[in-house]
Amino acid sequence: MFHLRDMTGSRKPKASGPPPPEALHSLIFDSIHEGVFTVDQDFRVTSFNAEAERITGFSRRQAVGKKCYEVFRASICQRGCALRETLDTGRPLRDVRIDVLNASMLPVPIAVSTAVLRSGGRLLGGVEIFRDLSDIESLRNELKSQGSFENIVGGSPAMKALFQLLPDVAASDAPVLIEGPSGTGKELVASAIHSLSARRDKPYLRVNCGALPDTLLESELFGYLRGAFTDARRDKPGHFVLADGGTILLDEIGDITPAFQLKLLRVLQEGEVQPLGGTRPVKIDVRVLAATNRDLGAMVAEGKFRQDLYYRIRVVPIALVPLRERRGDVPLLVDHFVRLQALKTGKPIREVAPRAMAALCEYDYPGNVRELQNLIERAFVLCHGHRIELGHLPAEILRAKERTAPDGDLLATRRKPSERIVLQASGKVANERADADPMAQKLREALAAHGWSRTATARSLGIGRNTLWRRMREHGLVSGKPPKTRGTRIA
Amino acid sequence: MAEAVTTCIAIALFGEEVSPRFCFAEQVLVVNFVNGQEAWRNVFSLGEPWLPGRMSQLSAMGVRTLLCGAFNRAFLPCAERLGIRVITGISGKAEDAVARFRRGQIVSPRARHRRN
Repeated sequence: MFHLRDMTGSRKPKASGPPPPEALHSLIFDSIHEGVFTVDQDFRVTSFNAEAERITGFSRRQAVGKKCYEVFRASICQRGCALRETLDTGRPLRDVRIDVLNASMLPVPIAVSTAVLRSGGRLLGGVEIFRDLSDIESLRNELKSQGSFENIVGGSPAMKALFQLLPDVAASDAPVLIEGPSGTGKELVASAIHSLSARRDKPYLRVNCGALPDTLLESELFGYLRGAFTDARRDKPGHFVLADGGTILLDEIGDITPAFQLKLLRVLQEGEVQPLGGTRPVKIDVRVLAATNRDLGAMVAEGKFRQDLYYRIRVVPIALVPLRERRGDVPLLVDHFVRLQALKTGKPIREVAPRAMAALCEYDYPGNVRELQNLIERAFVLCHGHRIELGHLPAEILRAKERTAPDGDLLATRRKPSERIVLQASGKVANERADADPMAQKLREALAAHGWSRTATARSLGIGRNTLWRRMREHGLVSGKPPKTRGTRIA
Repeated sequence: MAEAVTTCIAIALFGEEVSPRFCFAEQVLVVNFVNGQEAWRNVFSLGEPWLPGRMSQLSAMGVRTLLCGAFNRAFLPCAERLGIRVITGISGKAEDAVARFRRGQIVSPRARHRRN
């Protein structure tokens, strides 16, 4: 273990050249952007870096020699000290979120990681590394007051209505069906319902029903007993049992087969599951949330989804609107993602140029909020300044911008679809009558921009390849060749 | 006959030591002094780590001074409203803190300021 010396004192370096190792260690220690301190086996502070001084408000001189709990006054010092646990078990801990009271007696949220400090096999004590989470927490609080709820951002009437509804929905135990296009935040809503409910301390499990074939889905959800099939070497509890007392989200429920719909209906009606290979049903106490990007009502009308199951899961329906129908939320979301990304990457980007923001507001977002998030992430990669400019945005955004009137407020001058100016394949701008299917037009543009690579297009839209494929099928874009531009030019 | 002067203090406990932070202490030592002499003492369990509730609990016991390592300053007005003086920055053995208080060696920051 090294003890720190004050390197800012009056002592001058004797000569130029590399500093001695001890001084170098000290310089490195103080240049770390995380608070670091070490303790001996008696929990007395033995070293304390500059960031630790900043976060706690105590100087190194005040801290060294004191018991660590006298300096940190953390929420866990008296009940479940992380450092003590590490010294007792030898196991390091990572990112334990707590708060400490600084020298001014104000709470500071931090995340701590701990490790044992040894030298040549001899136990010296422990080391704790901690990060100041004040920025993240203040952002969270700010967002709370500026139009966000449980990580869902929005100030539009649709979102405000949702925020108002969520606590009541959470308080009940009724099944909820969350409908909305991909990327609108169905999973966030489900997670919010769970975290606001009385079941919040119990498990919350999500199962993507669309990704699994029936047999696998059955074993995942209901579990199986040893010997139920060739590879079943031991009992495996299903998600319904694992989520006992908590909440389960059945994502992409519109993708399950009619045969599985019947099995699921029985489980929901009877409140018990029968593991594969089992003879006795197991009682379950699980709140069921379901989500889909399909129009389940239409599927029921077409006979593709069981009506009884539909009404069983749709006790409380929540419909999320596409981002293009709540454009007013785009600036709020952009601001939110810029701040989050800045915290994540450490880049000093604080804002978006007005022209870039206008272009972001104009775009239709077939991939919804997830696509917007990806756009901001991409812009952060390209941006080396303090502000995201138009040039940091991808081609499809710029094309959408060019479609609008060249002067004035882009939002105010938004044209009706029938009056849009569409960039044709030749690169010229021509007026075009309304495309009969604007979603197909968006998909075509995105596909064309990525050379009809479905992987690249899906990534740029913030949706999965399967979702893209399904949409292409729905909009007649799976001929295998890039379709011709459908617009009729008006000279 | 002169009226007896009674002082009731509480010391937040962390084992035998003074608790570094009142809101997470599990117990409190309450000592009553009459005319400067210790009249009685008792250790009480504290409820949930919710400061207003804890301060009300102390107030109901007649505590007028709380000694601890640290106290969230956002709740100082609450303590003041309940007539409890909070003295922070105390560490070491709780027994030593009691002795120092009786000898007049622990005073509130305000009193310290007046002396200066």
